[in-house]
Amino acid sequence: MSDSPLLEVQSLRAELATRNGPLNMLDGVSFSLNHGRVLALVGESGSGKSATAFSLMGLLDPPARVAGGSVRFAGRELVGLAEAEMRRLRGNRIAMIFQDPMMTLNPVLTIGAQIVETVLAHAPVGRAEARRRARDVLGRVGVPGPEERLACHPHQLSGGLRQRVAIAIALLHQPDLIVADEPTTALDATIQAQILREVRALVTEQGTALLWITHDLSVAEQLADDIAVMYAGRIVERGPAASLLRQPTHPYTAGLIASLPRGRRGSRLTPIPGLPPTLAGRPSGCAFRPRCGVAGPACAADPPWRDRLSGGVSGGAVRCVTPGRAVAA
Amino acid sequence: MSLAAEAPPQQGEPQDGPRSSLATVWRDFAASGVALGSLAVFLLLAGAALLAPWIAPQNPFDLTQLDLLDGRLAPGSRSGAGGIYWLGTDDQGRDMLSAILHGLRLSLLVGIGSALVAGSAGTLVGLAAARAGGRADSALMRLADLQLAFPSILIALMVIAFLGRGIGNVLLALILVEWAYYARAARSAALVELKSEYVEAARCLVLPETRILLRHVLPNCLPSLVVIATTQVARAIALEATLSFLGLGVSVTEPSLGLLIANGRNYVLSGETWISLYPGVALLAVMAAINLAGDHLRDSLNPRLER
Amino acid sequence: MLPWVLRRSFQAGLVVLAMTLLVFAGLHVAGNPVDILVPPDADAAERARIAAVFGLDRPLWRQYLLFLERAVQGDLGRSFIHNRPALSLVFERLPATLELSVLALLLAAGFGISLGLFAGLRPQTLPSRLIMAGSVVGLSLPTFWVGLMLVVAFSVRLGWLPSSGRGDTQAVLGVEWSFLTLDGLRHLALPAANLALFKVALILRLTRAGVREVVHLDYVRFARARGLAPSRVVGVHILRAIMIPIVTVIGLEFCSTIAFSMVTESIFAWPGMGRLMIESIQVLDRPVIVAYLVAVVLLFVAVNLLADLLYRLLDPRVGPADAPANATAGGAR
Repeated sequence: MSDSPLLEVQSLRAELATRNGPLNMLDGVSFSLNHGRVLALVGESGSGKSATAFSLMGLLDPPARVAGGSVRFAGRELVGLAEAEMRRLRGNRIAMIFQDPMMTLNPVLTIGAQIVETVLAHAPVGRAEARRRARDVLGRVGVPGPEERLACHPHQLSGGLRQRVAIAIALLHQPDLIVADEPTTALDATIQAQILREVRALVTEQGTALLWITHDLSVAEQLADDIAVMYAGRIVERGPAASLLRQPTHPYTAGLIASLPRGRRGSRLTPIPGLPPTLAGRPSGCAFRPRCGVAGPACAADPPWRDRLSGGVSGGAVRCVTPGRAVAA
Repeated sequence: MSLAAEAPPQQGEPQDGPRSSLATVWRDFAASGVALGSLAVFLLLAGAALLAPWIAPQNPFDLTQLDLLDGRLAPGSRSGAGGIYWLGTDDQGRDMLSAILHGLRLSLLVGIGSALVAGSAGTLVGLAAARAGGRADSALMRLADLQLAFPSILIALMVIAFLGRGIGNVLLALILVEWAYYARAARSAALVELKSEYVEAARCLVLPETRILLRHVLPNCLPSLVVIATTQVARAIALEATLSFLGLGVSVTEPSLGLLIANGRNYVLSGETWISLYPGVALLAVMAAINLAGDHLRDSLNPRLER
Repeated sequence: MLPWVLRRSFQAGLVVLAMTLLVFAGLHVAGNPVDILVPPDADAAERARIAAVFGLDRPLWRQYLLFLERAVQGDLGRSFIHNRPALSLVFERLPATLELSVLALLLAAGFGISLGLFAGLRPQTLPSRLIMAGSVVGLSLPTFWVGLMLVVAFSVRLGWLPSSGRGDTQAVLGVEWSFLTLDGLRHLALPAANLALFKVALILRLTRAGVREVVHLDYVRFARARGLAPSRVVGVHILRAIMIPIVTVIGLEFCSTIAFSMVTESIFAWPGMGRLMIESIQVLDRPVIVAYLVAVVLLFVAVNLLADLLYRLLDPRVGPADAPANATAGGAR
């Protein structure tokens, strides 16, 4: 493996065109990800997590578009790459899993047809071989009776099974990177835990890099090596999962952790006051300023990146004028 | 139309507020040049049609004013009396421009008249069905569905075949064709409204049911009914013209665009096309104006719909 | 599946029955049915004899039953004008109307779906805007007038295509068809185009709306995220999803095409049953009118049944139960 990371995203910007001019969906998103690592991208809805995923995949539809920055994947620049080239990567080297398993499979095609077409899109094999691979991959993700399932339509499977099918499709071509957009959110807790465990095992086994998007910090904790926290189209803090969760330095990260139901029984949850800004109403400077308990006049300017140095634990970076203050307070 | 699943909103797209007021509907409507233009064309045509007896160069159905010597003159020809026939004349020396203006008058009368009657009757049926529920509701809606399954022209021709031609029977046919659309729309809109909180609040005040229906539910059904009315007016105008063209509409003494076109048909093969051409252009203009304005009105009333 | 077909057929039977009741009532509203059944020049004795033969002196409900009984036997009276059984007259003209309507609908579906796909996939481009503007004009064009203008343009001015009649026909299974000969096709061209125009606009708008709705759905994005070729995303994933409402509408529009072919047939002197109907109304040849109505209602009910069946075959979610017994039922409809 080379020195440069598998995926390197730098200053990625995306815009949504509206009648009143473009709105910033992503405002300079940067992170990197290596083989066999799991990065959890955490944030509230509307923070730009999904927009990041779709930008990476080149699947942002008008009126939204990637407006700048760079996405380097295995040494190749993806921003501005020709659609035909991009298509060869999608589903092949970079696979994606969507949020709602009820919606991601075409309701009028059989499971088998949808897996087989994905095989045929990237591999020069015949139908029989494609079908054999389809059966194998369903078996690998723990779908019982794979042969019979191939003939099923999506509505005949449960939500959990459907998401397994989607995961199977993602694994078909042993991708280098899987982008998963909240794939367990729509499932109930037991199935979610089961799938997380299995995905983790598969990633370790195949050395795949995984970008896991979630609004649920506890999912990130179970699964991720690193965490990046997004707010209003920016990453505000990133670092190793354990360190970041134990000692958050950005007031927003700290707020997210404080609103998590865990720890001592009966301890009070402290929700973050206020609501995240709408796309049109993002404040200048630090966008978290209006909801932040420790914001000062300095926060009106764009906060710089700083190294995370909290309690002697270093690693990662934070974008705050006064990192660590909220946690201490 | 709706497909099996609803589209999720684009990520990050700001959501529109709930119901829009009349002012915002108008602002949205007026923001489109096409919408304003088609409204202007419609008002112009409707105004000219309304004032036809006063502004038309001649009364095309007063035989004493017609000069057979002026028959089948091409557009732009001079009349014996010195005027100009801008759109030519038909075989009886009738000024086409005047005939078209009078024809538009009849078209709009028939179109809007049938929409008013069918709209009120259909809406009442729909509201009553939504309120009554149960068997009465399903019987009424089955009847409406059955009728909607049959093409409008077939229903209209049945009426004409059994009752004979004439403007009264044409109106009756149009009303019979149209009512079911309003009834269906009024019922589905009313069903939504009847479940809403403000109706529950009104019920708690023990307001009479008819008052709740007419004062509270009906106004909220109106937007969808108005949109249906625009398409129905256009359809009614087309259907009347078609029936009259086939000789199964209004009587030959009435000024119908369909009759004018049918009359010109005899001269089409000899190249004298203007007798059929211009009444059709007028028909197309008024229908396109109504359809376009209706399209944009629907969009303005449903701000969340994608254009 | 079978119980559904039976139930649906039963409903269809009820519709036919309701329509016969309506036609029967119409006959009585329209005046003395004796007038319908005897030639206008018959004397009083002949009228009384006919009234007795057809049971017109009996109570209405008995008359209706008699009417039904005779209708089932295929006897709906004789045409005064042609002096032949009305029903066979109508059936003789059926093939001409069928080939015209089917061709028109095929044209409409072909042009409508492809233009609609284009306009739906690239909504902001100039061609798409032109297509949509054209569709409004298409919906606003009076069919009969367009027919006349087509004659002016292509027959009178350019002289490319004939403007009336069926041209040469070729017999298959004892029925004459125009679409099997070149000359017949030339004769079909203008009337079929005329009849198709409105439907093209309708189907293209429906297709476009469907595409605009479906392209943002997750399963279409997922199909793209899997790296499928655009032809497969559009041709399979999008088209299959929007085909369901389109097929239903095309089924319904077939009925309306048959009905509106009355207008087109009258303009192009196409010897179909629509033209026969118009002529019969003009001269009040009521047995033929009744025969046409009965034939058309039967046809419509059959087409609706078929469209429903096709709908169920296309959409596995409402389709025949082909699920393996152990499969878990999903939450979506």
